[in-house]
Amino acid sequence: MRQLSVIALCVLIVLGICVSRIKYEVVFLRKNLNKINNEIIRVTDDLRVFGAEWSYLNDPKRLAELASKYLPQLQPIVHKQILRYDDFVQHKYANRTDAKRQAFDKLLDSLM
Amino acid sequence: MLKLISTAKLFSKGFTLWRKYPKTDPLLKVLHRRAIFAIVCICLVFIGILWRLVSVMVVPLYQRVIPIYHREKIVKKADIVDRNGELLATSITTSSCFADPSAIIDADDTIKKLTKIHGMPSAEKIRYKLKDRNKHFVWLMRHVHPTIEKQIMDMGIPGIHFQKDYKRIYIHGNLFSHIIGCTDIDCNGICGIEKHFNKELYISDFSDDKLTLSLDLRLQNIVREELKAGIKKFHAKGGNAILMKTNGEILAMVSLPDFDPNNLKKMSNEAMFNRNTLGVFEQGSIMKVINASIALDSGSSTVGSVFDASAPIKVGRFSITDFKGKGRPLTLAEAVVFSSNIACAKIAQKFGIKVQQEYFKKLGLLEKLHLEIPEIGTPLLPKNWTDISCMTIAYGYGIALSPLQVLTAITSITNGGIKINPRLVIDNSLTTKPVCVVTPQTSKLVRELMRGVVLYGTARKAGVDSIEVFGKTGTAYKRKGRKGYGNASNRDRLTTFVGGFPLDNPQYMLLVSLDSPQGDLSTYGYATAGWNVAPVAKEILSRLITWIADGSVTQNKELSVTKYLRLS
Repeated sequence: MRQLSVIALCVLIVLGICVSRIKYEVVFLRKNLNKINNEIIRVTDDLRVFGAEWSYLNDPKRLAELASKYLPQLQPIVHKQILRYDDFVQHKYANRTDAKRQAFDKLLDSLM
Repeated sequence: MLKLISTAKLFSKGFTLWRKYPKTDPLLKVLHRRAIFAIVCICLVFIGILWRLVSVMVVPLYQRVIPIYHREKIVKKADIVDRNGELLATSITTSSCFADPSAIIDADDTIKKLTKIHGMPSAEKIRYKLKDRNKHFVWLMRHVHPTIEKQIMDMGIPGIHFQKDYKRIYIHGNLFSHIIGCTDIDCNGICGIEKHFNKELYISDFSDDKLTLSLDLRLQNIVREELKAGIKKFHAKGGNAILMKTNGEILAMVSLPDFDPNNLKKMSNEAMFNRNTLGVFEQGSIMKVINASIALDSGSSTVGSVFDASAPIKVGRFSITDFKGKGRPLTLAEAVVFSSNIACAKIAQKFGIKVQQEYFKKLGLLEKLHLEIPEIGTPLLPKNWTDISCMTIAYGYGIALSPLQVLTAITSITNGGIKINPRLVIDNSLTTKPVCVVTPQTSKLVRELMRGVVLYGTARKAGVDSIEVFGKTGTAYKRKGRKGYGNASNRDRLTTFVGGFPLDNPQYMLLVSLDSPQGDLSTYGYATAGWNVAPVAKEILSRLITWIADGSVTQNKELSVTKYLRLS
């Protein structure tokens, strides 16, 4: 009986120590997790700010102003520049000189 | 140790004696009391140790943290992006200043220090906020600039603290004001998408969810720029425009004047008003498209049916007249292309009230439209749908509808006859059974009639060379309450263009409207739709085509309805 009590007491002590160790490990891991979570939130928030800044920099109005200032030789495509392929072949392409035609054919081949 | 053993032996002996002679020996009585006292003391010590052990090992850490301040819970809101993923609205992290009045030692000194900070409320306001010393939380300043935050922190005032906060920002300012709407200082939506999806937009700190709209930032910008230019050019009070895909997805929706959702203090009621969805107006001649489609689809008339438009129709003290009428009998095709009120009224008279109501119901014109914003206007219908109502509705008077509602109805007619529901949010899970409102044949005929309007009628100035645009203009006099429509000198007009492209397989529909445009030298004094809103529509279409042209450039085919038009 006494031996059993001693063994039980030992087991109890060992289990107590184990539980205590696990408890402290969990506390430590929880602290780490909180730290990582806070870091994720911080990075996500930073990314949002960067996203907002990027979107602001790409505002169409701002881009148009910059384009007119720094790219005055370039103009937006206008609807008159869009032609049906058949119309192009019949009218524009037919009037071109041989050299220009060849150059255009070459360009078309490279695109195909 | 020996002492302890002897004491224990003594206790043991005493306990034995006490049990045998508990109440006789006074010495044992004393011993008994002392023993009880010692046992209780030892038990208390052990209970204390046990409680501490349990509290350390069993009770979780977070349960032991006692909150110091009753902080307000600030929740993050999801980003709103356009169909290409461009950011339209987002929440950024800021810092807000609050006070714990119960922890403030010297209120006067605190107020004196705080009022030196730029942007802080006045001394009286701060004093009022700090009055209740039992409070633990009161906001002092929201969304504080980092430099100001540092200044306050450096002062080290007891009871003044900062907490993380979120601020909603709208990157493109006025561009999407009426659609996205805005929020109050706590990020609660107060109008637009922000209000409709208020709960759904709240997300956790870790979530990266986004709300994707059907809008296109680039197209919205084009539409707004051109509409703004048109309003300026024709000295209009305001205007609105909608660009929609023929499946109901709204690509751009602009209502001017608008407001900057980042600056709510400067927001006026007029700017808040969304003309596209909340405003209901008598739409004028664009309703003739619906009228013609009813006549063709119900079989009451054909494109070649002739109606006498040589003389005005007299109804009581009113008469139905034409603006620049032809003064001769017109075919149904001519009635639409030359925009004859008289002929259209007669077309409606032929199919009757019942058929008109039936088709209006099918097209969803009798009830409130459904859209993902709360600002939706209810259509104003005639109290008694009489024969006169039927005739006036045929050319756009006597019924007030929102521009989006009319565009939706006309899109449902021209897209092949499939009823559409406008939407601002891309949701691929939506699979509703297609409902036919008119036959594909009627749809094709109506498109050709509208193409005729662009080629030979009032919408000639909306024609774009490189694409087959179809459309219809409408000029409606604005009703001035009980005064009617005013006289020739003070009449206000609402001019509208509705159209789409390409002709064979329409993909995009556009509605542009100007409120009270003025005639000038360039328009020879005219202020009708063909002179002002049609050129604005052309500018929009010209710029849009370069973005969304997908090989659908003009083929200039012969129209089947041309033979019913006498163009001389």
